[in-house]
Amino acid sequence: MPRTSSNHQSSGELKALILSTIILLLILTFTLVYGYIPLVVILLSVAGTISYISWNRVSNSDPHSPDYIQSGEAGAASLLLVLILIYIPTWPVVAALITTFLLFILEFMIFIPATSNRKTRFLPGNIIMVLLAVFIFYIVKDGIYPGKILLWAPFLGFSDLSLSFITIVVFTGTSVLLYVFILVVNPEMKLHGYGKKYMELTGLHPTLAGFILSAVRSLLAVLLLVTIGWTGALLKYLPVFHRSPTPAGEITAISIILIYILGIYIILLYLPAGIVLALMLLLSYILTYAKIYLFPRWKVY
Amino acid sequence: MIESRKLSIKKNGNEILSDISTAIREGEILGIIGRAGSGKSMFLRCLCADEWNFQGEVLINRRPVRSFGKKLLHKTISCSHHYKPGYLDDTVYDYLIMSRTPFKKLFNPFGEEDRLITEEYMEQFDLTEYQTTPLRYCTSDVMARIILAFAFIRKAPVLLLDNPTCNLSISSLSRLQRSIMRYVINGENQCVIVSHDLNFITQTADRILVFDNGMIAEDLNPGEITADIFQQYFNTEVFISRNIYNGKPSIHLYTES
Repeated sequence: MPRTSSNHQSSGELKALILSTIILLLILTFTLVYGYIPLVVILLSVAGTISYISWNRVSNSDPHSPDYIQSGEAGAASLLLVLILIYIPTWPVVAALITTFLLFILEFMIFIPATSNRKTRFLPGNIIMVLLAVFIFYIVKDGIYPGKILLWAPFLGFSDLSLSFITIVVFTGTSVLLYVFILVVNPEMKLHGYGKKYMELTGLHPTLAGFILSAVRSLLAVLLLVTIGWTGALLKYLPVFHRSPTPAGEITAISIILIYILGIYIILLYLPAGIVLALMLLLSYILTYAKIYLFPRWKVY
Repeated sequence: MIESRKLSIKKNGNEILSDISTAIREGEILGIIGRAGSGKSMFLRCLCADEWNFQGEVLINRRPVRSFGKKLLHKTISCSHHYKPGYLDDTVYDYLIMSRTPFKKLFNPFGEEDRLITEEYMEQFDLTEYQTTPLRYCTSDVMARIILAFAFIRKAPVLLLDNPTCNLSISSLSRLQRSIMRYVINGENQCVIVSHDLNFITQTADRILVFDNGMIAEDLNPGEITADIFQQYFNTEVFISRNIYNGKPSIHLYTES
């Protein structure tokens, strides 16, 4: 069935597509020719961008989904990554993945269904943030944190560029695979967002579906953390996403996210990481609470 | 055929349904009426296995409904009262096509047939112009039609409608009536309607059950409806005339002049 005003939509999307591709090509050409941004940063940014798009699709199955700082995902993954950097330095990402997953099962399958409304939706995430803050305070106070690792590394993603090239390629590959998986399960994720009764239509048990979703979210949280870190959380407030995007709309969003991430990287070259991080955290809280209390009709995807 | 055999259910010591035995044949439209709390909606919930803690049996083509897997159950029974979406940001079309989920393979996209059926019912319920509209911007009449269309789009052999006339305008009522009649015309599908809209039931149903205190008090053809029945089971005085086009009864209240 033809969509209403489909011609206008197609031409708009085409313009957006051409524009974003030109911007993207300019940035890449500039980077490759002048070498201002290392290749690993570009790769990590691409992995981060794709992971973010995937995370956004998953989080949209929750009607009141906040950004990933407020949802506690960044906090949970950071908490575990910091713990693991100290105590299990051999396989930090795998260990972070497993432990984050366990924490997410608690959050997304027990706490959130119990507090599923707009205003209380942020409680579990904030509890995780408080836990993280207390933990960071103690490790800094007691000098437990290993000096050779930058304290901000688990929060800023690509500021820790000591990762091997192979690891970064694995991250990028995993993020692409996850993106494809999320595209494939899009109808099932929507049904999960509609409610338990709708999920039954798939024949999947709602608990099993919640379990799979928690696993995917923990994988994405860890990927986001090691690629773009907490700074990507503010992407939630950019007006470039749509719940059911067209392919051109998706490419536009991907291009803009990539520009944002590279922009943050350049800012980090000139501003101390701690200040950038504090600013992002502050903005995340201000924007989230503005959305809840001041502008409840503000659409954020 | 869907049938209930000695169906009983108790909640907190109160008997909600008691010994309900009836069968709904293929091609039949069954209307259920009764006072609030008489057990109509609970009966519907038992038919679609939404309520499992009942005694007796509900059978679909002689197979107990409790033995159906969830996916098969949703392929066989479509019930309107289930389907109120948890969030309203999807467009009408994107929401409605989800009704076809039981017919698609897990993790596969919807097929051409799913799209055609969705479009067919969007047209039947006059929703085509809203297909790209997010659900949250739909008026109550449009939303009521969307929820009804969601149930029809499944094309399940058993269609259960709980108070389907709520929030519908007169033109939407007429569309709903036509859609129900078309749905069963193939002689394979069956439809059960629970409603407080007595005129809609008498004009649409082939058979009417009157529920009272969790039991079937009357099992009638629409033509057998009398004013005494309303006096007895609804404690309301009415007078009944005949629709000059189909001869079916129309119920009127005595209004003070």
